[in-house]
Amino acid sequence: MAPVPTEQLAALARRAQAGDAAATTELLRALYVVVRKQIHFILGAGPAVDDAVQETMIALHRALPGFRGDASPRTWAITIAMRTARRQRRRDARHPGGGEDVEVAVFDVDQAGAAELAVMRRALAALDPKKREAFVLMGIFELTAAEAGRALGTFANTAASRFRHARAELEAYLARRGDESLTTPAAPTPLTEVDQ
Amino acid sequence: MSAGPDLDHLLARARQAEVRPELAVAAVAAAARAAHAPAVAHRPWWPGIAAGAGLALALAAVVLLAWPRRAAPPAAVVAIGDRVAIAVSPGGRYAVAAADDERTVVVVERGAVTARLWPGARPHRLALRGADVEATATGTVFTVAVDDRGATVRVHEGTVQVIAADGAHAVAAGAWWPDGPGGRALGAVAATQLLALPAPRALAPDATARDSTTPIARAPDAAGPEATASDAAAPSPPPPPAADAAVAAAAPRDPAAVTPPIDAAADAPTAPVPLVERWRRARLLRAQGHADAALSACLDIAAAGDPTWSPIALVEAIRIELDARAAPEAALARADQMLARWPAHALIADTRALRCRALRQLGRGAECAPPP
Repeated sequence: MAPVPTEQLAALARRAQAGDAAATTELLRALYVVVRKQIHFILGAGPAVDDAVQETMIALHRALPGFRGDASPRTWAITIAMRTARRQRRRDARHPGGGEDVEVAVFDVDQAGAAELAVMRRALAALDPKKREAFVLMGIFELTAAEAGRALGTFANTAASRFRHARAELEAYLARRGDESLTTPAAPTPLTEVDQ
Repeated sequence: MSAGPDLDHLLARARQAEVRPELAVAAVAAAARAAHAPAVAHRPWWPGIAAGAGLALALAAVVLLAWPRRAAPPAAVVAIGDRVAIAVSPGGRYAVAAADDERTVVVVERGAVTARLWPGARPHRLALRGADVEATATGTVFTVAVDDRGATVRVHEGTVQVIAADGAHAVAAGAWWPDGPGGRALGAVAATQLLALPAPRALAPDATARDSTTPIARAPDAAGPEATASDAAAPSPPPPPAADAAVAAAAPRDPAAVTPPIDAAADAPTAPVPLVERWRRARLLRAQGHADAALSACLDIAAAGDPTWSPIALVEAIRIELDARAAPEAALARADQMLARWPAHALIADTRALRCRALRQLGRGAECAPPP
């Protein structure tokens, strides 16, 4: 499902708040694809992910009437999903591995694409959670440092610092694992902490 | 050592990866159902009542401790699936986050929710969540209450694992978490209600008669001192009329999960695979290049008549016919089938586009009519 432009999302949000049921459905479907991808890369795979996504969707549904439009609906959904994912991680600290079938079930990709996404997920799982969150928001969702800082509940500079450290650690991880990471769904290897 | 995959390449792949649209359709429908799940509305805090709240609460606490079962108002009982029932306190608010063969997850937003999980042939995880606390059991009766100070868990039967910010705690029958006076009488009335009920499966109007010796609805051995071992072994008593009337027949439930009846599951050698799992397998088969097997799996799901997964699987079958099997005639027939069976479905626009592609491949592009 292709991403919906920000202006269109904002228009959908306005119509949804005015009581347009079709717009509500369309908006929530557009936000689902954002939230699903975000939680996939932050929490990994397994029932905990499905639970977190479902909780986020319920929260979005209920919070929609109070959405003020200060940020874009996409950033708003990402912020709510981040809070839900953190709660879920506190409840269930396991970060299950899983093969490419996880990606095949979620994304519209072929087997090769799924394998690459699985490598990305496993590499992210090896990061410290705070750095992982920053990398997902700024690297995959291309939020600015200010937007990521707001979603993470921290300063923009801190978000940017976590992103830089995360990137360096991911590059080291991928170089260390080499091509085997494309074929072996290994358990995450803890990375070395980098002082911030 | 060979070079590892390039991070920028993986990042670009992650940015471009598109979530499957049918998942969005199913998830938004489920969220809308859950967001509107039956819950007793909040009662407003009137300023006049607040002025006398201290005195009233003290009086209520004395009455509750002395006659807890008579003082507390009856809770609304709701069946979730075949093996779980919950009782929601007046003013309580909750959402069913998941309900399938393997687990039932209820999020308690406000008030007290008491849950009972009946034993069955397959393991089932029942979790109540609230205020960053999760209480999980695999066969028991327990209550989670949420207020401004956080969550309280009271166990009436069995053992519950409570996961909170400070770690995991095992809470046994008769105990509560965290320590304090608030948990003593919590959910006592609701637990008594639930323990008196037969399994939700048996409450359904179309439930077939089951062996009366099957101890699914056990005697309330934790409900009071009057319960005895012989009560527990006796056939299940009929539910009290008041509780029976309070059971909501239309339970919020994920339609993707086709839970086998408890009695059938006990007799059958293997339980049926849930549709959502069959759909994942079909997608995996297609991704691995097994088009015929994927098509067969999709058509099986389509034939199940499930309002969520059958149309999704049928549209996937059309795609397989068009792309992997290069069979536009078959794709056209399946598209017509989709238009006839689910004309108002969210994927109908996709179906029309696929039908037009099939027509163009057959040299009949002129027949491709715009949507009405």
